[in-house]
Amino acid sequence: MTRLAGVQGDFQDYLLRGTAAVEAHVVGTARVPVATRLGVYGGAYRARLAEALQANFPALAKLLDSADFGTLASRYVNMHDSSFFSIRYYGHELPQFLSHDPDYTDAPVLAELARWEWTMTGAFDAADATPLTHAALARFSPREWAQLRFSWHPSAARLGLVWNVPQLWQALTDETERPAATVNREPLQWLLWRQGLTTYFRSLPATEARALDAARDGWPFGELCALLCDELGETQAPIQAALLLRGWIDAGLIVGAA
Amino acid sequence: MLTHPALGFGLGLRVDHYDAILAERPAIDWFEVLTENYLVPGGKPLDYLTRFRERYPLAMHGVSMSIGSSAPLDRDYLRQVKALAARIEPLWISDHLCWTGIAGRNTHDLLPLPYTEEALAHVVERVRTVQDILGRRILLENVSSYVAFRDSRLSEWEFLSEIAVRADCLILLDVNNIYVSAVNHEFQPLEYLHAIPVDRVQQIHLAGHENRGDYLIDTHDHPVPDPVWELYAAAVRRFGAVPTMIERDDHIPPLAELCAELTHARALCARTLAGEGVPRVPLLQPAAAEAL
Repeated sequence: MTRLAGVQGDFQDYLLRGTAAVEAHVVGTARVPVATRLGVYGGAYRARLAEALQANFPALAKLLDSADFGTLASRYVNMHDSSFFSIRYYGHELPQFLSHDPDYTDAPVLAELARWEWTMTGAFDAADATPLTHAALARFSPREWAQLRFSWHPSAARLGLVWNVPQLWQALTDETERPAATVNREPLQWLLWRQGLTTYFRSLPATEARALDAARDGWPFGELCALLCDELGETQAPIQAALLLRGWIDAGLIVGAA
Repeated sequence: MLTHPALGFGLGLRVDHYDAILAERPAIDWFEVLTENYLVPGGKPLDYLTRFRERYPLAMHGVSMSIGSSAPLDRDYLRQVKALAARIEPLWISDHLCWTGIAGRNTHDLLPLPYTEEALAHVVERVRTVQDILGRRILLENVSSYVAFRDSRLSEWEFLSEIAVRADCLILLDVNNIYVSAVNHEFQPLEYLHAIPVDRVQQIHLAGHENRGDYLIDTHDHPVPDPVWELYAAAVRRFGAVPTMIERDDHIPPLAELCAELTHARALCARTLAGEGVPRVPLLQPAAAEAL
């Protein structure tokens, strides 16, 4: 190991783990001793990552009060180093942390809210793509339709939520009266996506959620129709397939067909 | 030697001012954008960036190059920086003379280096590699620091100047950082300024800091204070009308307030170049530092 690597290793260990080996590398002055000087960096490191969590999970930070969010941030920072060049991506394991950490498992709404916020941010700056138009779709001949597969806007994401998290998030974001946290009898499926520069979300009926998952998995249109046929019967399926596809196109969710 | 001399006065572009800038089109000569904020796949950040680029020259300023790290250069990061530069054709690309992490970790801080021959050779080699990858010279900025290393054998100004000359890169001189480090490490800021090669300074940063009593913290959350203005005047006397901008990262005031501060910088630069009414007092007497 080079001398430089040794100094940097000890310095980083001090920031991440609070170890003292770095003190041997640093000189202080009568006015400002070594511990104070290193403390500037130690404090700034923890504060910066906690601020990043607050910026990346603003609704969660509002739902918890600042002391509770501070405790959460501190525990998360202790256990999660950043490996990202951009601090925008710090906190990607917070939903999982909240799901599994014994201090938070009795409030599962927190993990779902964190998952929701992370997914919303992902939709916000997901890659751009030009939506497919109805006119472009109409150019396929009837015999091609059964084999047609769709590609989806990079922002599109589906979440199954047990709690009324979207309503909570909206109230926290708009700073309106917050509904009580309530549990759905069964997980409700939500679709999040960006059209142009605006991020949208809506709940999905169970049938649409299954069809959407199948379509995003690359099922051809003919097999989507068969799936709908099994669920809705032969009379309803063709109309429903056409309506779903029209809705997805209108929302800018589909960016290619082949 | 300079690629873009005398571009005038700019501001750091911040989200808080996006809509005001687009609506008011203030008479700001150029903006500096934080590179990492736009290294995202798409959406609003890149859309805004495109709109600003249609209206103003932009300089790219990064925080993650980690040019002084003993870990290998992050070539994926550099590839993304290069792609962003191809998209917005910046005036120049800058980052900091520091390291940010090793072993796959990022501390998201601008950590100081020991000023040794070993570190010097290491940084020079890496700057050359980065400049080869990006296909252009980069600017390196001096950071504020709170620790000095036992290993150091060079002064910070010798270290920075040597890197610029040996690696053939340019310097982004942060006048506030010089002042903060001068107080924290008890050196004379003018000695620092007068050691920097004139033909390497491509850009100047101005900012405010926080006084913690025995030391200063580079917080970028205050207006530019008088001692930094004085040091800026000294920098103008030495380096001339170098493109200058004000950085504010916290307690961000309305755009008009920063424009007024920039107007002050413009006027001070003009008065200094005309040799009028600019203080020429030594900037940091030992007694003054002791009184902090």
